[in-house]
Amino acid sequence: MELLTYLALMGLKSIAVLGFLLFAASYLVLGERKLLARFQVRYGPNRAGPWGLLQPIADMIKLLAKEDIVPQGADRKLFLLAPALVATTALLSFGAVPWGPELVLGGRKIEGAVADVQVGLLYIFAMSSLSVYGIALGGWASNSKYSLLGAVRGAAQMISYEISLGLSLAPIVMLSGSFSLREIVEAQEKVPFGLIQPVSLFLFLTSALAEIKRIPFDLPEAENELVAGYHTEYSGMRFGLFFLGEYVNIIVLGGVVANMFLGGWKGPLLPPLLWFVIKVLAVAFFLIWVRATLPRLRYDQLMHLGWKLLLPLSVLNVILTGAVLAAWPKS
Amino acid sequence: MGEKREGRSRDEAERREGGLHVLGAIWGGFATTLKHLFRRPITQQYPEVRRSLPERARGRIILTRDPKGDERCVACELCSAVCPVSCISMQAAQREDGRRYALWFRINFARCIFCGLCEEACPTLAIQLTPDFEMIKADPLDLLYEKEDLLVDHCGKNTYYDYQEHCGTGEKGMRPGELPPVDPKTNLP
Amino acid sequence: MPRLTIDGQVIEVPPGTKVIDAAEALGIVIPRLCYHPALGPAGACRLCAVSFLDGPVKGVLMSCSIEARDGMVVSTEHPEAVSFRKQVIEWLMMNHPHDCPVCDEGGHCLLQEVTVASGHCRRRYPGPKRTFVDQDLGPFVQQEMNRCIHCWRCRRFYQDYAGYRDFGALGIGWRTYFGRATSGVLESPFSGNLVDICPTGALTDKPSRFMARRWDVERAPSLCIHCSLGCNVTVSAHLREIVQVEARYNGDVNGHFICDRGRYGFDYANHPLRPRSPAVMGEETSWSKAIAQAVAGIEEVTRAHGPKAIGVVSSERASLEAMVTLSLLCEETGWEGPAFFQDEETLVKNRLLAQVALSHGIAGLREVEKADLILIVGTDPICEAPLLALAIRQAWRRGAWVGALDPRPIELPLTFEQSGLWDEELKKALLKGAQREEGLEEVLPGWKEALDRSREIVVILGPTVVDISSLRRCGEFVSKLGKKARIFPVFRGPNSLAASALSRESTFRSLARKIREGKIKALLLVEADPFHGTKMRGELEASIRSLELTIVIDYLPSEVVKRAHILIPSATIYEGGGSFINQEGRLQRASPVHRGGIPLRRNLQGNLRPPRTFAKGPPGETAKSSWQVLLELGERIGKGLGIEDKEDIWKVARERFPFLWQVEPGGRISWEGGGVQEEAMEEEEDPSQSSQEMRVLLVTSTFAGEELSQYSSKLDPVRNEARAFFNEEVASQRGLRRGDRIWIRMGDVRVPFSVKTSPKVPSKLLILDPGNEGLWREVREVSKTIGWTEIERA
Ligand code: SF4
Ligand code: SF4
Ligand code: SF4
Ligand code: SF4
Ligand code: FES
Repeated sequence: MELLTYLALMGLKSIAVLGFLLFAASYLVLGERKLLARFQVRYGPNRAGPWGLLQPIADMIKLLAKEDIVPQGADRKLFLLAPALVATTALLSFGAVPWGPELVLGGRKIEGAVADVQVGLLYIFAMSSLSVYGIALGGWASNSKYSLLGAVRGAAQMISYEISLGLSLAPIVMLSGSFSLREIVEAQEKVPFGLIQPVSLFLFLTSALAEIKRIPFDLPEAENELVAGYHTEYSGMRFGLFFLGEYVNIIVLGGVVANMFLGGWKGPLLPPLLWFVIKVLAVAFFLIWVRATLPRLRYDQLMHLGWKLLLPLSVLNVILTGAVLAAWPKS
Repeated sequence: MGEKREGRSRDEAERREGGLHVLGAIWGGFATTLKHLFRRPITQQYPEVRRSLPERARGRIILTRDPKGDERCVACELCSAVCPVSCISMQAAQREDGRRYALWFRINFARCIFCGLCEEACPTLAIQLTPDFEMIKADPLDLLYEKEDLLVDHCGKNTYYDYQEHCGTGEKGMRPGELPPVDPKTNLP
Repeated sequence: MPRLTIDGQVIEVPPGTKVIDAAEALGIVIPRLCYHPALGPAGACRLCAVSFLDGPVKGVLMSCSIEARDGMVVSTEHPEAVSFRKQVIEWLMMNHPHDCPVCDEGGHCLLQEVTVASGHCRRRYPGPKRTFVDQDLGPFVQQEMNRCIHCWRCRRFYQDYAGYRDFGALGIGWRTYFGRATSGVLESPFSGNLVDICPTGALTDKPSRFMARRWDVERAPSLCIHCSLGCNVTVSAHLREIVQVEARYNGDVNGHFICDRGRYGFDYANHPLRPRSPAVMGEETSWSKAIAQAVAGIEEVTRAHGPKAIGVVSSERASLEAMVTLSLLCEETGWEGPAFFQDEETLVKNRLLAQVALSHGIAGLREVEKADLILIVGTDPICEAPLLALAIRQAWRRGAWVGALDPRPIELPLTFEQSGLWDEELKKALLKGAQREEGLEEVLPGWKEALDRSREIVVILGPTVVDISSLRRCGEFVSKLGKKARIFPVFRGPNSLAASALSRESTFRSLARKIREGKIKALLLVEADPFHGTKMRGELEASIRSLELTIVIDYLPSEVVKRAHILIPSATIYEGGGSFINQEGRLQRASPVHRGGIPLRRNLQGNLRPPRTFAKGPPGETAKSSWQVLLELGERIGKGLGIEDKEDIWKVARERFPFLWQVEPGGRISWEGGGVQEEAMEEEEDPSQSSQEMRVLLVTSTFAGEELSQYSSKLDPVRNEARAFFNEEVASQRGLRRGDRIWIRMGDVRVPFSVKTSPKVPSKLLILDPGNEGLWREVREVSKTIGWTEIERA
């Protein structure tokens, strides 16, 4: 009985989160298009429904109705698998992101996350590393030079930035003493880590941008040289899955930043869940702003930045934090 | 030597790039975009607001007539030759009065890219692009315009040129700038 | 050998080479309008000017008229020469109408090309332009004299090269006019070459007028299969229709020119009645059904009567691929055949001719042009192999002596001796010739003298009018002439040589005999129409009607196609390509030109526009070549040959018929002939010896009588009416004069003829040229002799 309720609750929670995620991702697309338009003194989509609010639905119908093309000479199985891999890993990583405090309902403790994993951070890293397989396989299986180049770039970029990504969070872990995101949030009761560790925040944001391949690090799909990079050959809903993965990743990134640096759901007056959403949206807005502002890096600049700037900086940051912690333990 | 100098200057440029002023430039960018976020969009909303296009805008193609009211096109196939997407096809034929004309003439607007090269190539000024661009059809076959769809009853942009006056089927020696036909059978100078 | 420097490159050329050709050998193309390698220089256009900087001559001179000499230093890019050429173009364009958009030459016009290259684009001279009134030059050539730039190529070809006089230059100076005295049809059967040779749009192709621009057509190198010479042509197709055939230069065969039969005979491929889809008992059906029916029919006949009950007929116009497939298929299945020839006599004559020619050294058109003594035996070049006449003329222009032994009144564009001998007399004359050097002097005055000074002799020999023993005599006669003599055989079809090499004993006549005896129950006809040129229509019809099964594979709307139980359309040479062996044993290949299908012009809706539909392929099934159909048939009856494509056929054929295939295309085969059994032929008794009747000789003419071109509507305007040639004296005794119209009764029909008389026709001979064969459709049998009682005035 206990197990059954647990399972039912778990299921309900997953479905709710999944639904919210899909909804949020699709409206994030709309939001991004609208915001980008305003950044560029345009209107953006405004024809489907009032203020273009039905645009995501229209887009979805279009994607679903489009012909699903598998190019000649493609490795069929891998080609079909790749987009699913990208979307699933993105969705799965959100599972470990907590979005609220524990709730006590009828004597039952309900966690404010799909799963409160003790090593949540590592889990999210693992998932994001897995997603590169989707890109590499998709690009390779398409049997197209553009896709392949995009995939190779994607893989190289991920490998380069994963290190600074991990290292940039090490000080936070050191500060909070835990890999569990919930405990990290708890540790920011007084001051958000963002204020204590601005360098870490900068390093993390930059590396994460590269990790989810957003402008200015969108080399794997650089449309003016690679058509559309690794998903050149995809059409219809399979392309939609790649797209979905990208936007879910933004939300995941927003969640992680909110939890690690901005104090999670904690905040005055407003209910915790709302605080969490506001923080995630703030991060998303920042990403869109970056997109509206910065041009794409050249490939060599990308590598320079990763290896010559971010990596040393994050190592230095770890050492410094360590030194400070050693000097004033548990301040 | 030259190479070296170039190499050095590239290094320098990169060093400068990496310098602190990059941060300033980035900040400037962010500030500019943010400023624009609060400006009024300048987009004109198309179906509600319709601008009148300039006369030479390149839209739907027509076949015009000469000032005398006759078809200008002589089916020389130059437009179809120059068309980069090969969307013009026709069959030349001879009319009863000896004039070369297009028996059928077809433009596949599903393919046309409105580049205007055909108009430029046409020696008779027959084929012309018009500012009309609203020609959406649900069936691509409806975008196949035949001669009767293309032929209009005016001269288009040029109201005076008449190719036939110069090289047409009129009587030999009677067209402007021609001498009367020679008589090859006489030996008189 | 002169060594000269052109644009800094040194080249050594044979003496007599023009500077323009020397430059071309270096890859430097000097612009020209009037110079043509076959016609030589005229110096009329002044466009080929180059600078001679050093050597025997100096200054800006015409490279087409100056022979290369030692020590010349030539610059084609010297500013003086360039500005001279520019000036020339400007002069030429002064009177030009500038009407490229309505000119059919536009797109492949030499004048357009050089004008654009020179950069001339604006007429600076403000004065009026000279004009001419055009003439109607008949169905082939369209004239627009305003465009003429007076290069004289047309006149030089028409009068000098081809030897016809009704077209030429009139007037003087800037009034020079190229045309006829009055409008009228050009007389020369080579008039179409004017179109090729005129560098401007002054003379253009009338049948393809306004059909397509050069950049829109599908073009491929092909072969002319309207006679046995195998001239090389380039064929253009547009919108699934053959629109034009042009001469393609091949120095070994036709040179630069072709005849009008070859140029305008292509229209059979566009014939409105051409079979386009398979039919069973006259009903159109699908491809697979027709094949299935054919297979079922063949199997049934085989089960009931054995494989020998199936006869196979093909003809001399089938491609080598078809012939080889058919031969292999017959071997595999045990069918009777294949028969390529009408009757035993034709088969033996063809084989004998091939054998005689091959063993004495075979000659082609090039050898004819080089010969200094030409003897024509039993051939009418203009009618049987038109371009041969042009080659003979070239030899004659170089001083060759030409004589002819033939009962027909031969017309050639040159002066020659002819003796109207036939049959016994011909045999006697040849015998005499073989016995003594001067033996032919009696019949051909001047023979002895010509023989004495001759170094290269060509004897032109055709199998149509001479009989077997005369052919043999002729062989003996040529061996008597010795090494310097060669034989130029003239066959009937484009692939006759291969047909005689691949033939077994079967002929169509022998198969017909077996049909009558009830031994053959089914007939497979592959690109053959036994009704064509037959003398025994009635008999033929009866035999065909008595068959249980007739399968016809063909592309012509022929008479046998109309009578076929199962009809399977095949591809013409334009759609399928094919290999052919010409009269000198040269193996040549034609490439497919287009994919075929029903011509678009036939599909126009309300004559206004092509259909508005989506389609994957061309409408009308893309025809398969006959050999492909045969392979499929063989496969389906379980006698597959293991052949997939053309390459396979060539491979198999190379093993099985090495004598035909040991050469690469373009080379000559070396086959020693063989398999001629004279005993097989009983000599028929001469029936006219004892009676007052005249023997009948059936002949063909240039534009009527050749099977394929007969279906070409383009040639309709020049096809002659039916003609009857009488001996002049005999005719005048009977009160007949040239041009009279008569009826000749044959069986129960009367056929109209127009009377021609000539002193050369033997008195006991009546030569009948059916002209347009339509008239003969009702004649059930052409009798061997005709008495005066059967001839009446119309
Ligand atoms: S270029 Fe002009 S005249 Fe020529 S076919 Fe086209 S429309 Fe007609
Ligand atoms: S506008 Fe350009 S694409 Fe369109 S028909 Fe003319 S040449 Fe072709
Ligand atoms: S008609 Fe043609 S070939 Fe004859 S002179 Fe004029 S341009 Fe030359
Ligand atoms: S001479 Fe014979 S092969 Fe040559 S073009 Fe004429 S018909 Fe054809
Ligand atoms: S080509 Fe030499 S003068 Fe015409």
